[in-house]
Amino acid sequence: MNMLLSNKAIQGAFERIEHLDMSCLESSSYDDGFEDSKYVDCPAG
Amino acid sequence: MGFQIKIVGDFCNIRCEYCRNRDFNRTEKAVMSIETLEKLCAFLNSLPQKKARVNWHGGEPLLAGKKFFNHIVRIEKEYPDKVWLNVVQTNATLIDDGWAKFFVDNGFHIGVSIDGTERVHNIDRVSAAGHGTYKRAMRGVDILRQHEIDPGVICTITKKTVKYAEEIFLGLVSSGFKDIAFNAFYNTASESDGDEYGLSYKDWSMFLKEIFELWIENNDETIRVRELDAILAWVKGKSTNGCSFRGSCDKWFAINNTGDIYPCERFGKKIHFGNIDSFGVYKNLITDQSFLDWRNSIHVLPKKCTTCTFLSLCNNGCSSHRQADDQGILLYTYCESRLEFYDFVQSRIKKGGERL
Repeated sequence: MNMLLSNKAIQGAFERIEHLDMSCLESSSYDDGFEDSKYVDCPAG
Repeated sequence: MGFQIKIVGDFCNIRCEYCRNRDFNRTEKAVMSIETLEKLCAFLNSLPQKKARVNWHGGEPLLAGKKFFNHIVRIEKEYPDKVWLNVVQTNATLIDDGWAKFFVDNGFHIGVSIDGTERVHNIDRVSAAGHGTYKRAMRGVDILRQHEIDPGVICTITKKTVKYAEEIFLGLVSSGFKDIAFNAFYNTASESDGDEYGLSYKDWSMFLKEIFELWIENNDETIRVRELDAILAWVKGKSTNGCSFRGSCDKWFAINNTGDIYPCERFGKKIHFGNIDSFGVYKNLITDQSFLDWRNSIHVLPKKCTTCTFLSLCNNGCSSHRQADDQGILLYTYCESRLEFYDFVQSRIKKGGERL
């Protein structure tokens, strides 16, 4: 078995990625995915 | 769609070194008027989607004061059909029990700016007197946690701090942060190129590789690093929601304390669309010629992108972090960093876990 894929950090990331809502990327007037996210993604440096 | 509301303009209570060369006026005290705030909320209420994500930003947004934030909540309630998602990005130095209670009571999400350990953070994030601000910031974080708020952290990486990847990552993790984002500092708001803080693509690529290895070694599924999730999403043939991957710069706006509307703050004030007063509603902004011209300009693709396998997952990166290619078309500065890092992650996964 690929040991890296059994790494918990990788598994956690793949789990998050699995639940990304890609449909939000295709519409021009969407409720985009990160609006429901608990993450604060802010572009400012 | 995101709005970065600079309620105090650039006004800030600390003097981070990397902000020094930007076209920020950190010392000019400014707070959005209640009249402008009311117009802003009416403007946001005109968004086509049900949810309005509002990022209360600065400068340091808490300098606007608790009264101002109470006005935010009061005015948002005048639009009960809109779902308001409030986010505050703060340096955390002003947080007290009153602020934490307000955030809990009103469901605000909090992001803090901490650049790693005390030693690394204090290299750039200093007070007006030149003293490090780490202890004050972490005191604010502790208060948030006492109120069961688990803030995300944005850590800015500069040419000065990029060599401390291990110290930064382990410092953030040992300080209890679970949701970590790294911003590569690239001085787009200033006309001066090649300043002493801006990261090269090599620096950034090396940093990401180090962080990846440290994250793997840490082996904890609860630690999310935004940049690693983004590249691992490519491995799965997906793109994350991060704006610099989605080509969605035209859905992110900065609005300053006077109601003036700009693209993302990373552009500085070079591009100005107008004012919420003149636009009134969102539709008038996105149909305005100044916006349309700018939107068209950021979607012009360099030749390199047109043949790139990852175009749909990368979209030429952050549009403020671009430099002209040999044909004068703007290419993402960290294009090679992304490609290198993707190759590195792919190879690591194919290798089955052995370090390269």
